[in-house]
Amino acid sequence: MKEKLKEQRLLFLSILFMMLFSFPFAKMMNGTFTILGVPQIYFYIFVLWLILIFLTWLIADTRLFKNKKKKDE
Amino acid sequence: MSNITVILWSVLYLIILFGIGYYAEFRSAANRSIINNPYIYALSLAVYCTAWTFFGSIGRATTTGVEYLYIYLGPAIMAPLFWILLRKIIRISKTQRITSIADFISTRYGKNISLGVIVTLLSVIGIIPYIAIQLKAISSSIEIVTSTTHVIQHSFNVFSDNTFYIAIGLSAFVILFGTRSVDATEKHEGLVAAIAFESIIKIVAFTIVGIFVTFFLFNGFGEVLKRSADLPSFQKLFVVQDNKMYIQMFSMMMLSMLAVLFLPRQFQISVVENMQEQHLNKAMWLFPLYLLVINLFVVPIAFGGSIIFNGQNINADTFILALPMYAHQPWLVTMVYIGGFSAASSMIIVETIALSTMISNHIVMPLLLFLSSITKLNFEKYFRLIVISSRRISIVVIILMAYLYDRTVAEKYSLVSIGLVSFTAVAQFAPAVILGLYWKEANKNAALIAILVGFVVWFFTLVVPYIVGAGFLSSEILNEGLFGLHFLKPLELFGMTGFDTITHGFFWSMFFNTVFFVGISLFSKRTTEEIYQAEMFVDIFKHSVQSAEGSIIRKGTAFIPDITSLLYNFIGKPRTDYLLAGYARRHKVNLTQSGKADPMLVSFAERVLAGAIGSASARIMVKNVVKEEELSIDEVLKILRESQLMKETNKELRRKSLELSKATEELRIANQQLKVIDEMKDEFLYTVTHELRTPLTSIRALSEIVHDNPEIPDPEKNIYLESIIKETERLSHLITQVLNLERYESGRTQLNLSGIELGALLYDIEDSARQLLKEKGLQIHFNIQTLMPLLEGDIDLLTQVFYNLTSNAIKHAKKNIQVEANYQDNIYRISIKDDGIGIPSELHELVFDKFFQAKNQTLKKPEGSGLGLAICKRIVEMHQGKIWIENLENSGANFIVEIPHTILTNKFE
Repeated sequence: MKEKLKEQRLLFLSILFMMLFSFPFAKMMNGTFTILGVPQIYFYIFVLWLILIFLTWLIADTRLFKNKKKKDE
Repeated sequence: MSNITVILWSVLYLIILFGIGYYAEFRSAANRSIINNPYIYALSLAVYCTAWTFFGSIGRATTTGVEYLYIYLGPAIMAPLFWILLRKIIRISKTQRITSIADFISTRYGKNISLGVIVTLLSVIGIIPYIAIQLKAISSSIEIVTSTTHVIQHSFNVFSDNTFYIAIGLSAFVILFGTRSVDATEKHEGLVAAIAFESIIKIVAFTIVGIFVTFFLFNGFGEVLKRSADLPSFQKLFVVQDNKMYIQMFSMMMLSMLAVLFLPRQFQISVVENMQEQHLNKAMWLFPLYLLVINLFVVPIAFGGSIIFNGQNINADTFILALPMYAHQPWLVTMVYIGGFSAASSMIIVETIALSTMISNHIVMPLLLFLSSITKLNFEKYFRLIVISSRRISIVVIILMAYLYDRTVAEKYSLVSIGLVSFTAVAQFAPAVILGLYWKEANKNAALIAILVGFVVWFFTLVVPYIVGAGFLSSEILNEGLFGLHFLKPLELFGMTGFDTITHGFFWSMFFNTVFFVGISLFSKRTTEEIYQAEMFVDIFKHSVQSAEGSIIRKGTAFIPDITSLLYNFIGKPRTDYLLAGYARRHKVNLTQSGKADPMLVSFAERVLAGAIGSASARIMVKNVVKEEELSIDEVLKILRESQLMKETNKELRRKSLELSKATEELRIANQQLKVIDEMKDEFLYTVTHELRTPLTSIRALSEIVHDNPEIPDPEKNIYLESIIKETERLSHLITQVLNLERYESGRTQLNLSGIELGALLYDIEDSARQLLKEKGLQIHFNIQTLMPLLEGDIDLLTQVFYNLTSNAIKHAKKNIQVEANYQDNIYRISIKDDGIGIPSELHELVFDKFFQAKNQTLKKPEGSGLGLAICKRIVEMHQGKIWIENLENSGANFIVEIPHTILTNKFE
């Protein structure tokens, strides 16, 4: 049961970020602004990338979600 | 930098790699693997970053801007799916001893030989250009660092060409660490350690140069970006201009998502060299993090180079070298050279290993088997030699072919564009692998045709334009289409226009591939072997390793000598004996040399062979020595269902028996506790009655005296009666105490809490004990902290405790009694000392037992009931405190009581 939930969470994460990096979202973030001198779209991609890594870490490699599930069961 | 210096650095670097390889193998032989940890695993996955990343990304960033990042976003998005896809692939590959992507596909579809051949060919054709661009990167970087200017001049002669010797050196490394054992499922620990090391080198080199360019050549990110705003191409790089670019970005992302799973080198590192599935947990976030870090400085280097070399004819792919050269930083140049060399060589090393295993197992072996079957020649004795040497030869051939390709075709194209063509080639495996993992109906014919069709379309749309570009084909085919048919133009297939070349080729090849795959799967039948393999792949997590080993689909039997000699030929005598001994131990069978091998042993031998020569060839080899009858599909399904059912039943049984043994254990403990309590009760009863009898006996004796002798004079009679009253008092005191203790222990007593002034309470006790003190001529000294907060407790019970302790002290003291009390850290500490003979330390805990004195009559004559200290202890515990004894330096006992400031009411039921 636990494995299944972990798989589903990771799948969700992957699909969500695939969309966020792609057409409508990437285009929305495409502009002439710069943030700390960094062009908007670069900033968007790198920040999003970091968030993706952080969330993957949280789901895959921490006990954070494991403990919660025990209570649920 | 001179030619010699570059060669020296390269040789030195290769020597270090050899050293690391040997060290890792040495550690592995000593059973202390250095690569069996998730960090090394994640680092070795970074073999994904090649010269393409190191040099090519920078070039790409100067032409298409942000798009270059999508090649690394793909793996980052795929990484969470490692747990789903890669873990399943790893589990399957370990159970079936799969050694390469070709082996995986061929095994999935019924151990089919043709599939193995096609996948191998497609991989080799698709990947050699990719290896070539790594050599190209090495050769260009040598040219740049040895030239006085930072512009490349072309000159070509094989034997004066450093790249040639470097290619030879790399082949030697691969042969040494990659083809040691014929069993390709054995881990190449030296190789993996070297790759992980190279991953560190390349990221460190790249980051240091990035920092140098950003913060020393310029004043930080801001300045690079501000100054690049003056460049003519600025708009294109900072902002995505064309909506078509989003499609290109999306196809880069999809391509790299597939490539990170299916490139032969990624499959080798992530599946074949994987030590534990659990390592994925760390790799899933560390690997994308690595990619992010190595990409941080691409933009500053790309833009910085564009600013500095604006207007000069310098290939942007070489900016990373040109910039430190421009700044006259020889050490930095050397470091970049080594970094680029490590990026290129790691790719070459792993890719050639993977390809050579595929060639030897899926092309050479089937060919050999075919030859020996038609010529009836017996090659078997030489099989082992042939497998190993075919691997070694193919390594050299692959590297040489790549070298030639580099010298003829690759010169004209950028690193990234050639790399992307290779990515598209391996993407053709995606439908067969991914659908094969989840869809049982996917079948062999479908996989064969789909991959072939994908291959053809890939070749037509992506390779043909390159061939034309290199001048080997006239450009007619590009303009007029194949055979003059306009809808067959390689770059505008069926009239599709408006996309970049890669998206165009990727789309069409995957479209036909997938459609054919699904379509044919739905309309053709599967063989028994395919059904069995489909089951073993799709439901791998339902089949345990044991059931995979235990369930066999062919009722094959053979003679054990046949089986063992087969294994001897391929994996050698020592390893065969080792594996068979392990098998015999696991299944508790006796493998006598003359006996018959049962189907289970046959299938075990087949799996062992598969690890060496691939599953399809292993199948054929085993078929030759085994008499077997093919089972019908229904029988196979029945066996599979049974094995699954058995696993579930086993699981259920295990769970039940676990629960049962847990319950038994609980019962046993409870029973033991009951017994102990029962014994304690018996003992208590015995001592109580014994204690009651003593005063009772004397009362009776005294009463009898008075009763029997009426002539006793009154004064004397009074003395007897007084004694009787005293004994009665003692009796009723004893009974009260027993009742009290019983009440405290049963928890029926509620604490009657109130704020107590501890000092006053202790002084009061002195008052009530004054008579006794006087009788014994004792002095009592107080040392009580003033201004203690009120103690929350039951005043009557606590008074009893301290009265008991004080009277105890009075009994034993010679001259002085010392009472101290203080409050610190929320705890009251009261100590009552006497200067008597003290208590032996082994009795410190026993004295708090009920009737301790009574039980130890020999120590001294009992004074008091023997329940006082037990009651004290109980009361202190009811206040959540502690009581214990410390012996003083010279003599005397010191009773210490600690009570916390706040106690929880109603804690005691």
